Amino acid sequence: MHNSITLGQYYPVKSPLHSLDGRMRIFVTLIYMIMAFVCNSAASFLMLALFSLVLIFISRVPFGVIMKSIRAILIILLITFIMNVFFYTSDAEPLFEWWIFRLYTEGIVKAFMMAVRITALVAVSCLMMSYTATPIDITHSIEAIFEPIKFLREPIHSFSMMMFIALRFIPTLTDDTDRILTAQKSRGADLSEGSLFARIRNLTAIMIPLFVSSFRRADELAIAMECRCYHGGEGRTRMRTLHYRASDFVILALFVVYAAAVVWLNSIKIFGY
Amino acid sequence: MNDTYDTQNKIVLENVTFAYNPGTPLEKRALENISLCFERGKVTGIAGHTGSGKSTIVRLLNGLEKPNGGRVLLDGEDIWANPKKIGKIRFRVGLVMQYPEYQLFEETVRADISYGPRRMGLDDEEINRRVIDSAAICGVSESDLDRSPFELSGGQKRRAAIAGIMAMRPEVLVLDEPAAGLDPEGRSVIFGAVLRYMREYDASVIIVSHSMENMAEYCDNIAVLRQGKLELSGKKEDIFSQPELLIKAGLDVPEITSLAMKLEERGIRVSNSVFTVGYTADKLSALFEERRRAKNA
Amino acid sequence: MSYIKAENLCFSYDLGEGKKKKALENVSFEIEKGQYVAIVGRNGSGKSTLAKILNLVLEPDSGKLTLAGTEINDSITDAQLLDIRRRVGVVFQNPDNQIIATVVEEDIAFGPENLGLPPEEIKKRVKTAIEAVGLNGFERSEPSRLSGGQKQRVAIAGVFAMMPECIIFDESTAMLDPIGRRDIMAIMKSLSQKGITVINITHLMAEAAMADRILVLNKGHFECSGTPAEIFSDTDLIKRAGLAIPQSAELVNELRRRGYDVGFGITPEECAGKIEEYYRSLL
Repeated sequence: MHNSITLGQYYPVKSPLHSLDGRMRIFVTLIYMIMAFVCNSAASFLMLALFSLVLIFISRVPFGVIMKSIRAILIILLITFIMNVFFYTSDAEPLFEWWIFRLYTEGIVKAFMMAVRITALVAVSCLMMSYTATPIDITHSIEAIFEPIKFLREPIHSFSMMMFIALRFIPTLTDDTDRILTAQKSRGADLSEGSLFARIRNLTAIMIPLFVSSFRRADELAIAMECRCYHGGEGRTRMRTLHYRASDFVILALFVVYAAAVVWLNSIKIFGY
Repeated sequence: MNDTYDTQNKIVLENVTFAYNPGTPLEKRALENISLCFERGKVTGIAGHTGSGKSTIVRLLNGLEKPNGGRVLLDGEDIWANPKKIGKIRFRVGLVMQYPEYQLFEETVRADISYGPRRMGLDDEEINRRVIDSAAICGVSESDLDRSPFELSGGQKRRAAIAGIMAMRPEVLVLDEPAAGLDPEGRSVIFGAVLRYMREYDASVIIVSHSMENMAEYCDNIAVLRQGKLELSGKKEDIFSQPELLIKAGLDVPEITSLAMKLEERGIRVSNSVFTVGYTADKLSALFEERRRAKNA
Repeated sequence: MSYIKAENLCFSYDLGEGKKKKALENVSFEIEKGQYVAIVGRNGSGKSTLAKILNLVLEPDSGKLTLAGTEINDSITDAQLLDIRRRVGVVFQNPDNQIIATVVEEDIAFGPENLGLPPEEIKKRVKTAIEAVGLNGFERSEPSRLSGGQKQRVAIAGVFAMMPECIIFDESTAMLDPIGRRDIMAIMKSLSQKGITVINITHLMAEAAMADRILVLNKGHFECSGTPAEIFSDTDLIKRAGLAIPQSAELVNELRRRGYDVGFGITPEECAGKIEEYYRSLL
């Protein structure tokens, strides 16, 4: 009865984006996001969309998988689009007028741009932070980024160790929950029946043993870590050091070209947009 | 073991087949065509290596899973005849999971033991009677009843948890590795309590374990599982007369059994079926005496 | 000088409201470097308290403890403490609560990483440790998908990678199935053959039988120590300390009690030999 939960949505294939150095990953993702907000012309938005597609292609994560994360924000996307279309006001001649609604061409274009921006941001941040990297990789990367800043090193180390252990214990605690749930069910606990009060009461039958077991685990883990000479981040080394590879710089170059292209394309207007 | 519909049989698995996640790519066959009868007033051991399907049988008996094929019969009736009533079945087939002490949660031991009976909707008087009674069977002292379960020692906690199941007065008591991690004393207290419960309530007891020494000591019948199939089943004496089959199923035969096998290799036949120290000592003493007499004659 | 020396260790748990529960009383013993020792006793004999004192989790109320040649007292520095922890490793009971990483080799690297070793050295040690416990091929596996016995082997490898002089097994096989238990026993033996001091704290006499020496604890007292043959043939002691000896030893004890002088053995092989010898001598 093993519970296998893959945290996040890591898609296990080999690609230059999967093997990207953690620090570089965070850096280029930031470039991407900033540029997504810098975009203001139709041409640069086209560039944004195109570049996002290129990234997905490089990652070798199927397009359909990425679409899943976009589907999740479809409602938000729709609402922003409608808001932008209907609440845009301008002195210009409206394209369409009915009752209190006035639609402007510019409003529609702006709404469209916003939709592209949100879609691209969600798709690419999921791609960079979830599909091509595990949460543990991300945790390590954050720690590595702050490594050179001395006064931040220790708190960031503690934080990332905490995250790391939390992630490590999710399958264990899921198994615990399952076991306790089974045990209480066979004593007649029923979480789906009865009044709200009865249900809360039944929940305590699950929660208390779960807390007790978690605390016990935490306690034993702390002792085990201490016995393995853990004493914080001070003087600690790592077996896997992060290394920049040639392909990392190719990816970086790609992002720099994209950033430059966005800046340049912002000054070029197509049909005035 | 005997015919399926014999009244002696409390709970019966009839051609049971089970797979986790059936019909998906993750499908995992756990049990294949298992037929087993568990008699009233008898202890049946289910032995098997990790992954042999023992825990799945436990889940099926307790109605936590529904078989994909075949039936689970309690008193001759399919427990899944009315799926809505499966909750009632769980009161009749009590399940003591591995490390049951981790399911304790109430403020007092008394409240914890009453949890099951209360869920059954019994009145306070009856609940109280049952709490006192099962606490006594399990050796939980009256003074401990009003303490917090978390203050008890490991062995006491386990006994309190088992009392919580016994208080539901199940007709079938299923225990998964009840003695795991206990020392010899703790182990004999637990098994003693289980046997006492069985005798007092004419219950059917099923013990799942990979310790063949415990089985040898406490079970009447034994079923051996291997990779989801029933490898062997029958009276304890018959099972231990074929130790090679137990070894084939990846089980450890009791040390005394392997000692007897070694003696047999050396030309000293102790008995057809060896599984306890006392019995072996008796047989060997007899052999020694016989030899002495032969010498004197 | 002995490697581990306990002199008059006392410890009581504070139950609150001024109540105390004695767990250890004047426990003294010595363990030589390179020995394979089992510490046995029933539940409540004080063996887990002793384990916690040896792991430096608990501090004795009184008495003196010397670990790896260093006396443990209040003046001990953090650096010394770290050094002792490196030299004396511990493998605990529950494998799930001592594995830190989500990849086998990264977990094994945890200890060496804490020691601040260079990455190349860590890699080398992880490799050696994986071989020592026979986990080749599982380097990149996820520990939560391994069996109990395999998880425990990961834990042992994690300790082994720190190159300890001594490893304490604190009920490390209690949660394992017979196969997992056998694997761990074999590893303990091979560690001992590598010159590592092995201390196995257990209530399973079949495990204690593998040790060079057994220390028996009973009700918080140090009862006695001796070779497995000495301990197992002392039926009074076994009864008093609430232990269950292996069935073969029990059988020969029983036969001797009935007046058949078969001698003594521990393993089934040994006992079968002794019984046969006696049987043949009768004619």
